[in-house]
Amino acid sequence: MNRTDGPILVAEGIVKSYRLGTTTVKVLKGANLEVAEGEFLAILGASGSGKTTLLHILGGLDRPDKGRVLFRGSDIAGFRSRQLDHYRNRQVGFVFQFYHLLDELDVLENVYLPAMVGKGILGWLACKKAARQRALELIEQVGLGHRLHHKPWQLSGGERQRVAIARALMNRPTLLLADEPTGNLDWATGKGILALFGALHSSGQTIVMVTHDQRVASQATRTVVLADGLVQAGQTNTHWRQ
Amino acid sequence: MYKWLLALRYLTGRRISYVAVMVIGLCVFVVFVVMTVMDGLVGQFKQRTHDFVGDCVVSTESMVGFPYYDRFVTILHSEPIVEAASAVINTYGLVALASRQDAVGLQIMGIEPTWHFKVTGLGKSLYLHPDDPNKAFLAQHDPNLPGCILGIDLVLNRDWSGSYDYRWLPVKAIYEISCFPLTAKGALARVGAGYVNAKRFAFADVSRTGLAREDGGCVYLPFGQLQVLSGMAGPPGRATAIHIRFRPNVDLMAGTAKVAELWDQFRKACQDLPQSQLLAGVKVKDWKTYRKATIAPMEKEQIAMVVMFVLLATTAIFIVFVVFYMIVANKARDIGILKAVGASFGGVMGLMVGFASLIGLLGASIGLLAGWAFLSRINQIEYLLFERFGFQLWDRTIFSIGQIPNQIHLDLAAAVALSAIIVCLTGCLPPAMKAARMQPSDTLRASPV
Amino acid sequence: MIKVLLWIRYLRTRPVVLLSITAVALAVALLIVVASLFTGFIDAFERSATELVGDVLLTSPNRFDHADRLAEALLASGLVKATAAGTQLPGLLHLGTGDVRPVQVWAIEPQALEQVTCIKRWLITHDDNPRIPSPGQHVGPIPALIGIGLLTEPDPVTDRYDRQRAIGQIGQRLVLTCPAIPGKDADGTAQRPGRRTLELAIAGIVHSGNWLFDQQSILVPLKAFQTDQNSPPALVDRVQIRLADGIDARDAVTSITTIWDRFAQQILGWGPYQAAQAEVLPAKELQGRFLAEVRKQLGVLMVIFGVVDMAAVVLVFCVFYMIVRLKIKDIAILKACGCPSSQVAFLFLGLGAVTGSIGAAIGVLLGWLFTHNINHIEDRISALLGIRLWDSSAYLFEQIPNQVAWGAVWVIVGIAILAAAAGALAPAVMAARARPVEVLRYE
Repeated sequence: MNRTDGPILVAEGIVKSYRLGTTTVKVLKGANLEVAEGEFLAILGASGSGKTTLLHILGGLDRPDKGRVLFRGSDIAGFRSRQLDHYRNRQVGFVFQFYHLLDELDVLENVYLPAMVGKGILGWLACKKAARQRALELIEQVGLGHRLHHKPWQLSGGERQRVAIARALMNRPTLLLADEPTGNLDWATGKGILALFGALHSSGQTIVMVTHDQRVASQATRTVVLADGLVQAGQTNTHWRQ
Repeated sequence: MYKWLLALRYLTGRRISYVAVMVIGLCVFVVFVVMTVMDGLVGQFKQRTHDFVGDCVVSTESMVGFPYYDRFVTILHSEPIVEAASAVINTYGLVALASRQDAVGLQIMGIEPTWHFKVTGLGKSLYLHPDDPNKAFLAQHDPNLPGCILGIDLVLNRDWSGSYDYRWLPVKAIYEISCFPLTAKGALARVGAGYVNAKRFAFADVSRTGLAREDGGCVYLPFGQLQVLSGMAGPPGRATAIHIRFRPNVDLMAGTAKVAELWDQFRKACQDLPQSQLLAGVKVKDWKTYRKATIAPMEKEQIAMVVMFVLLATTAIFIVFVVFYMIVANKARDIGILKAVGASFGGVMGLMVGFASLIGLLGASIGLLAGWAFLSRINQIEYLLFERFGFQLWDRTIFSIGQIPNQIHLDLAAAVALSAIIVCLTGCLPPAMKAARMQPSDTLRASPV
Repeated sequence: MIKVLLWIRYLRTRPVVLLSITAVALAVALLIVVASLFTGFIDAFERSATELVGDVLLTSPNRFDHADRLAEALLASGLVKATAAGTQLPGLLHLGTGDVRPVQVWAIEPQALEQVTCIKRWLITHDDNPRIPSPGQHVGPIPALIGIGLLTEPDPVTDRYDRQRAIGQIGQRLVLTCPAIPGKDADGTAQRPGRRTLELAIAGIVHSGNWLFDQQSILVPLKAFQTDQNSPPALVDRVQIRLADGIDARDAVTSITTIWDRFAQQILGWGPYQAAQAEVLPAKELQGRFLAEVRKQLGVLMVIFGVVDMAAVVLVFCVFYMIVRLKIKDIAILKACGCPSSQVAFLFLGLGAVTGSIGAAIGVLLGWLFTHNINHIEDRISALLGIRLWDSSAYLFEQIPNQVAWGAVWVIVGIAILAAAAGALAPAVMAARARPVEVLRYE
């Protein structure tokens, strides 16, 4: 992946509120963020600070009440449903805290699921071979080649998260968005996941990761803090400075 | 593509899907079996009615009848579309066994067997001399008397299997038949000191048409004899109807229209003849219209059954709706995932609709298969139930039904299957729309913020 | 208390429970409607029999005289309120130009019939307060009461008779021919069977609501069948009996049979065999075989629909299974707080029964609403589609029976509640067996 100058993703003045019963909670109060291409950015914040909300808005899973999200100059907040679907399928790969694999599909099928979306039977038959090949490569890359036809409930937490990462990379997305990817794992397993992220970043993948854990955040090239609904000034992490 | 993959996986992997398949299968089975049997009964009834009446009838509702029927019959016989035509008298009379005082009011039908057996299936319905016009009215016991044919239920009882014991035919019976002779103006004609004509007839044969009204309420007499009894001998002689059989491949409506045209011309040609005013009340009808009053109740039974099945289908739709509601509730996370990887509103709808279609298709297939298996053995099952438990769905001594009709019509099967799929689609639509509209962020987050 | 609290919470917060209540309600309503329609038809048939005939009917294959003495004996027994002796004959009726119909002739004194049946209620004349014609001696045409269906046909769309048109024919002369009722001459010798032709005039119109009766019946005074003024009364072969209030028809049959036997042997001089040929039946059982068939059809339909409605039971099972799975942590917490397994099981079993009860209650309401208004609904369908679903010529009555069969309702409700509880049984057992130590383990 080639690095280009200028941010690939820009969030400007993001405001988002939620109704919880009779109360309205303003989670984001005008957050601004820039993500450069090829960057590994960590958004650090306490529980309930709105980091997941911000990530969902960046990934087109949710729309802000106010503000813009520019992806390569286009405001995704103004995208129509079809454009947003395409954006999520082609430009973004999501990795969730709770993995969110489909129980009815095995490892291989879960990984090539994004390739099936948007295609009919004939379209799928035309690209199935290539998609399968790509999925196998990714599964090997995450070290699960021996678990191809296992169902999610047959895997450990770490293994499930690795499958989720492979799925997120299936369509070669520009952005990899990870929501507390190690939040449900023990530290040793989590380190393995972070190592995987590191390897992906080294090969040029742009990654945005939210976490509440300082140790996890320190694995990224840059960390920003989300507090009081706003993004505080970022810092480049020490080991990257080195 | 993922839609079909996931739909199949949901179908085979989720036990609750089996509930929906079971409900659909059950409903399809019930509807298919009941409608096939009802269709068969109605079809049987219509076929027998068609056999009894012929293709087309020129008739008057008045018992006075109309004159010059013989001339019109001649015209019809020269018409290329007409195979045969037969003049008939329909009236009512009192029929009593000559040796007893009790009598019964019955429909009396005067026929000329030579032509009538070509027009209708009455000849085939006789027992002693089927389809033999020369012997139809042959008196069994007293050759000095004219013969009469009686509906079979007037003289014999059906047993539990719907069969008759012909050993008990009243071959020596003599019947006294009384009618009101009517003048051409419809008034009672004086007969001696009274108003009634009576004559004795000897038993000739029984007719089993399969129509309850005719078999239990009709006596057939030679046309000429009934003409005299009912005061229609003339001159000019009168009849109340002409039954017509078209040649094969003649369209019923086209043939009836042609006969109506011929009648119009004939009526105009006769307008200066005596009693021609009686021709004005004559109508030309195809057999379905002619017998609408008896066919309509059976068709209404079918409609009533359909209405009842609509109520049943409403319950089924609701059950399918609840099943899909639960599936969607369970699958909210999956739908969020699909949307996260780019599935569209249409894609999610397609998944749910595809799933519903599979359930409908599978349920309908199971229901139809079970229905076919049941229908192919329905008479054996009824026989077994009767043998073991004395239970018979329709008491044959009361209902004039033979074997329960079980012929499967593919169009009915297709209609039932299609309805089942529509039921599934209707039931799944609201939850599917809800699923497709779900915001992925709502289903995928660990906490609300 | 915890159970009731949780029942209310689950009912309020789990919309799927409300949906299963609705499924139960629909299933119950459907069964109630079907049961009520059939039961209503059977009841209408039986009621029609008692209205037309009386409570009990005595028929003899051999005609007899001295019917007045039989009536005295019956009235003296205290069981009987009124009797009407007569006979039924087939006849041919000439109504007008070219119009000849087969009819059922009721040769019976109308005054006596009024005591035994509801004929006065059905009578239509020019007067607002119609009166049954008195027997008396007739000069000129004999006054007869005629079924409305003989004078006019029901409208094909509304299925209603044109009463005004029928009333317009009162006074019209008719000619009836039927078998003569063989009686005895003044010297007691039996008369030969023959035929009678009577000139009648329409004195009133009978509209009973029973299609068969209205289409075929004509009531002619029995005296009209006497050969002349001086001859003995015509022989009869049936006696219609209205019982005294509070007397059950089945119970009275034995006593009436005894009275008849004594009358036949002592007054008529018949032997015991001939006397025993007579049949004494409650009017409701006159069409017993036909009604047995109708009951059978009802049973079959209930089984068919009941089998499909069992799917609602399976649905309840699925709903509760899902709730138990979702709430397994709550259940484990309850148990960890000391709640016994039986209480946990009863929580869900009871919720199943509550679901069934509420669903059944709603179903009863829906079923009652539909059944009670079925004739209005049919009118609307008829107006919308232009066809009449309920035809009096096919179903014998002008109105669809619209009384709810409460006897069947309680059975259906009971089964619905039990079935819903049965659907919740397996999930209840599952919940009862949940082990807190396994469920509450952190993953």
